[in-house]
Amino acid sequence: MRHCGEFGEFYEANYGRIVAMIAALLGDRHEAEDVAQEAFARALTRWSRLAGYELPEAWVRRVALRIAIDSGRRRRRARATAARLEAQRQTPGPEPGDALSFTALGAALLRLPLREREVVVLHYLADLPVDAIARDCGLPPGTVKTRLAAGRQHLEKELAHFPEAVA
Amino acid sequence: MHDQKLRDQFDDWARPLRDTAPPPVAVLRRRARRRRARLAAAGASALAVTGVIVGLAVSGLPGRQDAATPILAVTARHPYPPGEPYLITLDNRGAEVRNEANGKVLKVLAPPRPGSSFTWVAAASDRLFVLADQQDRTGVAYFYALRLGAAGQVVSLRLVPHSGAMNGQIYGMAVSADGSEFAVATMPRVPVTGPARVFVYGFGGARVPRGWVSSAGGVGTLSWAGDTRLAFYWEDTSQPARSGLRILATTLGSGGSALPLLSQSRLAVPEQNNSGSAQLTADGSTVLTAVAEGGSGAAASKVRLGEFAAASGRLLRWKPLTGTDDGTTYCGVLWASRTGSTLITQCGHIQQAITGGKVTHIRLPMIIPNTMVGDQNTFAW
Repeated sequence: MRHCGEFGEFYEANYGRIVAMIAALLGDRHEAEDVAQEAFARALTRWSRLAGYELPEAWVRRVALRIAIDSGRRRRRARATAARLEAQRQTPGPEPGDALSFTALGAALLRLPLREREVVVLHYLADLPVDAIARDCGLPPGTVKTRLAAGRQHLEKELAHFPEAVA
Repeated sequence: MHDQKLRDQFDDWARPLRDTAPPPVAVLRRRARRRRARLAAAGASALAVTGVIVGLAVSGLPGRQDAATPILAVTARHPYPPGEPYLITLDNRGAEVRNEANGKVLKVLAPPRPGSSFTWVAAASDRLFVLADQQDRTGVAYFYALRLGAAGQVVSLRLVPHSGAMNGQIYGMAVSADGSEFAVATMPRVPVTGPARVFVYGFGGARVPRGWVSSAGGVGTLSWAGDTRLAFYWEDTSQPARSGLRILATTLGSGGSALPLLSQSRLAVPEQNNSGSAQLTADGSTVLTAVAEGGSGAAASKVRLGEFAAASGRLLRWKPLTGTDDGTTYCGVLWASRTGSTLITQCGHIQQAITGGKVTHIRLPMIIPNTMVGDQNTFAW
């Protein structure tokens, strides 16, 4: 059982990982930080219980995912970012401020269907096995495998638009 | 492409993000406090509706004991609160008027002031809502009274005369049972420190606003009983043991004096285990709040409903609350009859009606989100 005072250590150790995971989903660093803070704020209010969990970070990850998805912002942001990326692709010379989404991988991720992007991010970025993704997403393991395979295939196809990424 | 190569690419991409420095824990505490206040405001709004509906039922229909009785007979539509078929949710687009039966958005109302956004909503009876639009930069708040028609159409949206600069950030709103007044709780903006305040305004603007100042700490979770009593959570950050529910008699003293507390009762519930909102029943006798049972490894926690005596804070009984609190959907009381004998609750995907000891589960046509990201997204009906 962890003590309440250990929340600070837990928070500092895991904040960046959650931000990275949500940023990969949303394509927006600021939005990702907002979601991560909300998830950790909820964890803080329940820390007396979460501290007893074997993996409290799994709870935070799951809540952050739900927030990102339920908020509906992600879809709007992704559409807007995809449109911006499309325009940038036709007009060489991206702005430095768009560095996050305009890396080849970031741009390719945003072009994946949401259901595929989610499992790809959890598998390759959060390093979760299929059964853990299935628990987080509430999906049968077989569905996760199917989406993972399709997502990887689409990701490779999208990355092919960016030769430097596959060189 | 090999799996490992893809993983390496993800690692490279994520490295600068993983190094992101987290903001201080104090920032999270304020977020958590605001979220609790928002959740409670939503629950409290339903209570304001209850007061009038039950009041009308009792006065206009002699012999009728409880206006909530027909709830259990309703199976084909969203049953809460009786007679109010619309609710309002706020998001980045503005105020969305929804049909509660199917969640369909009937109308999206943009704030009248260009570039602004609605930040709070509270519901009164007879399809009357109060919307607040508070500017982050200046703290100036604009209050609007929104009246919907029987078909959910917007009948009027008018600026309430009391709009203006607020001495702090809004943390809660509630409308009186008779729909004549509304209460607003404020706390100083970060990094300013100072007391919390509660103001009561008349919709017409003729009456002078009344205000109270807390001796310390924060105020939120407003819930208005059927008369002049206003319940709220008082959070004493310096002495957490003193935090708890207080009841304010809104007819007593004002003018910046310390809060004249009608009751010194505190709920015997540790704050971190207070899962949902607290509601004062319309007769002012009972406080209902969802309390987490705690967990041991599960990602979501089971909850139960605590019924407390408002006068003493003593636990009267536990009631079943089906569902789990996973932190992402609403979990608590949606509607309570005048005495609290009949309740509509929701926790996650499960909604239930409780009358006495009988529990009926209701299939939800719409999930009420609990995604209070940033300053947006709250609801009222």
